[in-house]
Amino acid sequence: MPKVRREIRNVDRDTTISRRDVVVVAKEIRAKRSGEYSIKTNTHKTAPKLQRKK
Amino acid sequence: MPAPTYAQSVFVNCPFDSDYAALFDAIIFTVHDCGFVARCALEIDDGAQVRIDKIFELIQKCKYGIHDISRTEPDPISGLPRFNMPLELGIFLSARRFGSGRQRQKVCLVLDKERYRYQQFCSDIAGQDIWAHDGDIQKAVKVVRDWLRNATANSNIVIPGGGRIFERYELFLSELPQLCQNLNLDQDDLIFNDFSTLVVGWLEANPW
Repeated sequence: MPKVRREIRNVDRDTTISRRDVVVVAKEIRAKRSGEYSIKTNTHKTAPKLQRKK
Repeated sequence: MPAPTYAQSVFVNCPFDSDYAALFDAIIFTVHDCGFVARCALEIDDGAQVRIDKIFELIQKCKYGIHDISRTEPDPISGLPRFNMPLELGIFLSARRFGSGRQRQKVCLVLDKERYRYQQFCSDIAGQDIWAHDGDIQKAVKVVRDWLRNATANSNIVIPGGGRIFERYELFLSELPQLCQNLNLDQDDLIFNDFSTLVVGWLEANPW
């Protein structure tokens, strides 16, 4: 039997925040932590723009 | 996001006081990181519904139950012990004993500070799955994780180890202040519904 990861689930809770907003913010924090990209400039550090030599 | 089924719902019956908050939050995180959904009486704020009816309804919806009976000290103000946790454990066990159909599949974990201390104040629960957390968050995470893992032993579900979940919980805690700030929440005054939504959103953004 193939092993699978259980899907994250939740109930519709009476809350002032939406799960989608939390996911967006959490992903921004994760990206900042891992240095994947700069939130300020929204540019990927791991994929710098290529400088074409003239 | 799919709604949880009966077999994915965990009724959390633990103290709600500030002294227990660190353990409570860690248990909620662990339940969700194992792919289950934590349900507790704090999630319903319907003044029209009688509290015991809320508890009956939640217990009916949950196959699993985590019951912490460690709070045996008298309340500092009233001088009396609180009996809510043993009462809700009794309701859960009764549902399994006298209920029908899937209610008879109920599984529960009983937590205390020390493993055999219950024999001195609640000896009738002997024979249940009783484990100690020693008031230690890391141990509580491991006990809850191992119990949920054993409960799903015959399935093809993979659950990370207790040490890995604890590392992820520490990471979540380190990012919680920023999370709250960006979402205009007061970290020191998070209600259960907001906290669990933060946990679920963070887990979705940080898969293991």
